[in-house]
Amino acid sequence: MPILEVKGLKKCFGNVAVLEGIDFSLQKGEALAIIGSSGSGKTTLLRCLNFLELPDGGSISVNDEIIFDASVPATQSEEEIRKKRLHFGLVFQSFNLFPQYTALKNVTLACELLAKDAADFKEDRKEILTDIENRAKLLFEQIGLSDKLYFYPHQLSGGQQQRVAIARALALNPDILCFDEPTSALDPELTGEVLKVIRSLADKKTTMVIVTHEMQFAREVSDNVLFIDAGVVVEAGKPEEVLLNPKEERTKRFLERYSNA
Amino acid sequence: MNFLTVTTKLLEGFWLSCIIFFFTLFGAMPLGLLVSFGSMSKFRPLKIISKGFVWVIRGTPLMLQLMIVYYGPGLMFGLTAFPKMTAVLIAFIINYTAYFSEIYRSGIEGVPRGQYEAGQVLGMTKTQIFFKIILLQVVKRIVPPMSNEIITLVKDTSLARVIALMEIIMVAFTYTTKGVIWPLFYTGVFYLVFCGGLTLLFGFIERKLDYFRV
Amino acid sequence: MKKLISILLVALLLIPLFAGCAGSEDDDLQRIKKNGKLVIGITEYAPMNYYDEGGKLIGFDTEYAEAVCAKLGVKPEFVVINWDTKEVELKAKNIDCIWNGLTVTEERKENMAFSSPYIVNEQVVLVRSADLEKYSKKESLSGVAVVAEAGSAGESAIEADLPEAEYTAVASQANALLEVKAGTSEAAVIDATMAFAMTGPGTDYSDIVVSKDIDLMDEEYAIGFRLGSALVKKVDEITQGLLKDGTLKAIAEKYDLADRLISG
Repeated sequence: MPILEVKGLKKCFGNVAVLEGIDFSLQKGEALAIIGSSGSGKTTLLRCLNFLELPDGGSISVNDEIIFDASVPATQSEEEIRKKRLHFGLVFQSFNLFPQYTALKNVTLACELLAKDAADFKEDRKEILTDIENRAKLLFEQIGLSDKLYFYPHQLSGGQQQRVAIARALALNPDILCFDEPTSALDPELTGEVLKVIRSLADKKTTMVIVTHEMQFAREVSDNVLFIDAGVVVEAGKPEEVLLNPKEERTKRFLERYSNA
Repeated sequence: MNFLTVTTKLLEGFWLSCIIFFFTLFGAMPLGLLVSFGSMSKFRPLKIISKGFVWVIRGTPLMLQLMIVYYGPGLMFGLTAFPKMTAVLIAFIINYTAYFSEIYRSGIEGVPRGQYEAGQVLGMTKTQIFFKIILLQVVKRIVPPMSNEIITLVKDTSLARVIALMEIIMVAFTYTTKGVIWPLFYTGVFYLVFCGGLTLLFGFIERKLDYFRV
Repeated sequence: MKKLISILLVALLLIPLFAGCAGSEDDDLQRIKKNGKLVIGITEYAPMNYYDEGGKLIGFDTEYAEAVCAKLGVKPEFVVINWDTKEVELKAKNIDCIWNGLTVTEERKENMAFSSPYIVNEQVVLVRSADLEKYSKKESLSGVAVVAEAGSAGESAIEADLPEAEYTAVASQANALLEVKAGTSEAAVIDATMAFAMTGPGTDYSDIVVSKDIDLMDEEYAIGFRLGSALVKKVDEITQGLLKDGTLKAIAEKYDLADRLISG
């Protein structure tokens, strides 16, 4: 049983169709790399999964439950979407850490806000908050930033900020963690530390969808690769097949252009 | 002319200046927020009205607005005029609402979309996003332009004399008709002290918000 | 489109300011009797309307107005106005009259109805005492920087009697004196009454003097009412009575204006 199943996903901006019916599925513990040139629709696909854009057509199911169906308005209310999007975590290209909070608070904030909605929050307030903080500190150990808990984002390097952003997305225990070109905004010498963290997540069998330009990294870390062009899935399969022996002409051309660049 | 008497008289005038100042802030700061929401609204008529309001108010002198509010009702509709202070406050609040709304708008629009989106993907409600994430960043962005505008307001209060409200400069002018000039220049001290206090206050706020960058 | 609408809106708002309001012919006399008060527009200046040491409003016009109001059976209410917009104040009915050493001019007659004049007003030329000899004749002021309040009787006097002077209008009579004191102008033309109150020992203008040999045209003070106001006739009648019983003469003497009072 796949953990995520996307069927016929469509998205238009005005008259421009960006996604023209995307189908794919994801098994628990699988890392999927999505590649494609700029404007191919790969980032839009990721934004649709996180409901930053509402798809115009198709459906999204998680653990066999349809969490979004473009033909069922009931799945599109703001409140529904707010709950459903917690199945997904998203790491942005430009980190988007909250500048006024410490690294630690960036990670704990959303958990605290969710905990406050719970019925038993008032009685066990202290315990719950300590628990959230302890879990966050464990995440900081994972990303190797235990010494930066109380630093503000502007005091951290780009690579460190992105690692905190990963911890922030992990803190809510999403079923599927999404990365939107996580190293594109970084200086080349800082990409390594971020890739290392993502690699360690792959080793722990975290379910991930990674939109990336790093072909080498995609080959190492992913279990499957999806090549998207002009809003459709052109080729999908194991990384060694898609990246080394592509069947489709379009994929070949993309990879050639990429290796020339 | 006794220094103490003049100081007392000028203080009476400055008290009116202060009333204009504080009530204008009190009224224009929240109203400016409303108008800025209007200017950013996706509902076109509201957006057009808000932007038109800002254009008219920023495009005409405050002095003229004061005269319209004070003389307008009598001239156009034969109504009784507002009391002077009321007329001054109406004109000042309307004027500063327009200026503040533009500052708020630039502050709010200056927060990157990524900040809202980061809040959204973390499952926060719109209210939580506004109060927990956006608000403080907006405040930090608008403190410098707001302090500028507020210090301008201190000095703009002297415009109230065009409808003969006895603010400090007008009081000083009554001395010049008696052949005494120095009180006019002495008023500068009152403005300087007041603006000095404000400068310290805004500096304090800026330092308080200095721990993060936007 | 929105700009067009806004332009129209602004235009609509502004037209009445210049055009005035036609056709509001309710009788001023009944109006003030009903309100129980006469609202009098003043600016603060000695000897007409000014405050004494105890903060009480005194002056020739103050007491004159109080005497008239007593006969009218209403209370006088003195309101400080901006002299630049006195006509607007009157039209907007913020005040009922201007009673503040107002000089009668042809221009002003277009905007207000004057009572019979009650004081002869003289415009005088003021110069720094060091320059007194230099500027002792009308001719000596030709090409010289002279100031007066915009729209004042002093301005008319300069146009009529000192056409050769380099005239600049300033915001108030007090500003005109300030110009001379600061050396930005050589001479100022202002009301004699005001000149005597503002210069001399104990003021900052003790070194400013009247150039006595330059004689400018005389003018007269009167009370300004709204055009067509029934108050004009009524106040004139009361004034006649006050002249007859000597009340007005006594007030004039108190403020050293007896020789300027128009008594017949």
